[in-house]
Amino acid sequence: MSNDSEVDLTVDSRDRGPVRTPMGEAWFMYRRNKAAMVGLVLLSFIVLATIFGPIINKTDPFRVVSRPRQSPSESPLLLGSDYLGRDTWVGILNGGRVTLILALCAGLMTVIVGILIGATAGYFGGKVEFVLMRFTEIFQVPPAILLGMLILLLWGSSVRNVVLAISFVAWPQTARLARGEFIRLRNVEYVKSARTAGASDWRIMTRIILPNALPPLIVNATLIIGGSILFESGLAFLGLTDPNVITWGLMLGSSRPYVFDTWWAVTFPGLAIFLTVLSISLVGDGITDAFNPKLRER
Amino acid sequence: MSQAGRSNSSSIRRVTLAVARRAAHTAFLLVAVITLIYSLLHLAPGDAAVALAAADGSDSPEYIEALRADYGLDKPFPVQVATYIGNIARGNFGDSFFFRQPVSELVAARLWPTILLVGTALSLALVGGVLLGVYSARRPTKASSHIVTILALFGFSAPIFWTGIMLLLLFSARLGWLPSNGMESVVDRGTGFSAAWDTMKHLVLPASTLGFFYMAQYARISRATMLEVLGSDYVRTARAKGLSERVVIWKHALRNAVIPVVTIAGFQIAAILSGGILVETVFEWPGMGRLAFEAVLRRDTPVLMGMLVVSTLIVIGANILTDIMYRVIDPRIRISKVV
Amino acid sequence: MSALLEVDNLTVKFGEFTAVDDVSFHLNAGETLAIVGESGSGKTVTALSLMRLIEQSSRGRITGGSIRLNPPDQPSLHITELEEDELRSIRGELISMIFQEPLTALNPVFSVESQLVEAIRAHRDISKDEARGMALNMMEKVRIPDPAQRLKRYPHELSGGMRQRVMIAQALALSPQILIADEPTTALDVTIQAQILGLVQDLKDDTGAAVIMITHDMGVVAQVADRVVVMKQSKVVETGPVEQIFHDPQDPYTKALLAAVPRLGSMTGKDKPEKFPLVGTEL
Repeated sequence: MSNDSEVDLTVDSRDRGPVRTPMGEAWFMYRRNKAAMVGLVLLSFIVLATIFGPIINKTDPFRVVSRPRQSPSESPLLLGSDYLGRDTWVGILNGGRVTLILALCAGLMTVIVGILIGATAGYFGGKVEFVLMRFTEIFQVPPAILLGMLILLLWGSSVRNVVLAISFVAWPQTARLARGEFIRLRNVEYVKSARTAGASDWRIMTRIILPNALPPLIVNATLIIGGSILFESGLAFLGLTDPNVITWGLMLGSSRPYVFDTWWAVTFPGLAIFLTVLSISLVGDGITDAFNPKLRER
Repeated sequence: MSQAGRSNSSSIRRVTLAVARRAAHTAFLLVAVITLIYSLLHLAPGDAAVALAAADGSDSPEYIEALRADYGLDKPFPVQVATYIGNIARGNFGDSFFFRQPVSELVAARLWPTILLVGTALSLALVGGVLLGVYSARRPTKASSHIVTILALFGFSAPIFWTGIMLLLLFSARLGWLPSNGMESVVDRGTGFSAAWDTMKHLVLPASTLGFFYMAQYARISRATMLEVLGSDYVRTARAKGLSERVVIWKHALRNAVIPVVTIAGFQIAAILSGGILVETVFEWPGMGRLAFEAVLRRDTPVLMGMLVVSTLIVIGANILTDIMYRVIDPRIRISKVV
Repeated sequence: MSALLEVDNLTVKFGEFTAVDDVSFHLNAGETLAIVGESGSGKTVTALSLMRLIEQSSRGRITGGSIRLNPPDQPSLHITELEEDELRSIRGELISMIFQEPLTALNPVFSVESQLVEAIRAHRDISKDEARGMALNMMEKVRIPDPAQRLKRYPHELSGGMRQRVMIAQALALSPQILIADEPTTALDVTIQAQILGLVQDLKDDTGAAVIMITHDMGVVAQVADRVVVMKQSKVVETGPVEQIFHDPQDPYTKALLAAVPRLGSMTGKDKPEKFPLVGTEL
């Protein structure tokens, strides 16, 4: 597939002037995609806000700073105060930072585990593949949120355990994708020739197949990160995460019983999750399209 | 005739073999998933017996000793798993620490509302999604494609419980059209038709919340496959036969276009149950999700483990059902492909 | 007396592209007319236009010309001007079509029987059992062995040749005036090709239908056609009786098409194989 697209790209670029590298070409395609650019700008804005927001406004998100239950219109605070009088906007900035770091770690871990298992299964095939894929399947049967709940209930609600719980339920998705990619690529000409030249399995897997399988895996990683944010918020909403570490999900969960009095304290953290996951999805779709222009019509 | 007889008996043999393989696979999955769930307990830090009783360990030493014997906690791991599976096979999912009641009874009482909710949501998603997909495929304009894509993206991106809360704020708190929680009104419920109507009113919000999420996705898939199918040779043949456009679309094209939707929906049963748990919590729907939430609040491990086992059974059962449906819809895989 | 089908100055466009350009020909009752040309010459689009299947299935547009069907003992029908429900009563009843790809032309999820019965019941107000009887009768006519058994099968359980026979059975079930066969043998094995062509010829004689045979193969033309229409790049370049086309072709393109067919004895005196001249390059 990446062979095909390389051919395509050179043909395309002929009538557009200078020949670009595959990465340059992908960026060129990406930039022309309006939705993807909106997603990228939005995501950059969110990331910058969560990095610099808490530096500029040093208020402790758990501190009571005003009268409780003040709506944005009657409060001097940007987004009002919650049922205890904590600043919703400060919560969103600080919660975003934790949420994003947490999702990033979970995403990274998921992708690493998933690729290791999926690549091994796909590359070696046969019995290895059979055993590994049956193993993978086991994790996909029980509802993910229940598995996550049980893990956190038994292990405790630390941030580290939340990351582990997310990876624990998410890795099969990556493993299946990686397996498919490695099956597709293990018998292409350049892999065969590398094998004939005596390259080791490890070298073929990491240096030859993996780079060619990267675009769909990168897209998968964005999906996993978006999914991690949603999953964490679900666990936090159910009260299973550390109540002393602020995340968007925790804000939602703790204000939920008072939602009829303080709609803003629930609406805005949720909106933050929604916009973040949306922008990540848009970026992921943009990357898919950029690497595979033929699929765009789908 | 003799040839026909032979091919019949060989196809019976093939079906038997397929069913046997499927049964073996199902048994494997069941045992493996239960083992996985049990290992989570086994590998957890601290005393498993204390975790099973209550994580604060406030229970009496006698009760903990009884648990130790019941689960065989002093024996090696494989024996423990075998004991646990044996207990489950006999319908003994353990006892709830908090409710002082067998887990099986607790779950059984909550099963029906969950099936009602998830079933309604899934039907809504499938019917609505496919209708939307067909509609937009027949008018393949930029606008219709964008609407379906945007709906699917939104469905993907919003936390489902937040969507639920937003709907609750709008339709229940603000407009007062629909009840905000539970499955039945405490007063004025009535009987017979009026009671069913009452349940339906309670069902609308949670079922739409859960269904909408998947409806947008199914619309997107059925739109794509419908576009492909509408350009296919057999649709052209159907038109060349002089069939009405209604029959061409709703019989010839649709039957083929729903195949991928059924596949995806079958894959998503576990995810839909996950979503249902969150939605039930938001709307205080008295189903399994709500029970799971209560179990976590009370640190009631046996209930949570029992729920995991039961939902595993549901998922596996639903997968078999999807498989059968799939075979009914598509004769090409009726016998050949299993698992 | 006018011809069974008269096509005058037909023009079909896909967006800006003109797929059929000012095409005129006629078809007499009971004859076989071959429309020949390379792929992309507009012959399939012409065929689909005759049934007005071009709009929904391929999003083309008939922008000019007329198609007139003159069934015996019935008033003439101006196909280009009919509404969708009037067209439906023509399709399968007066004009039928079989396609190039028997593998994909039948719906994979319905049994042969249900597809045949459906085609019959779309035009005849009869019971399912009667329609089944007609379907079985047609299956025998297209010489499918063990027809009652095969009726219960699904398309994927039949071979390509068998599927094309089912398509023919379906197309001729209601004894249409015209059968359009769009490259009916191209996707089949050589031995099956001859059988299918023979079958179409026999059934044509049997039912008295006129046949429009769309093909790129001059061998097929020689075997079945009474008259020939040669198309090139959306236009008709030559029309005439089959003898004239083969013995005294007027247009250089027709000559080139004929030159591309190896003739018995044409290699006499040559000891090495030779390349065929490519159509269009040597003119």
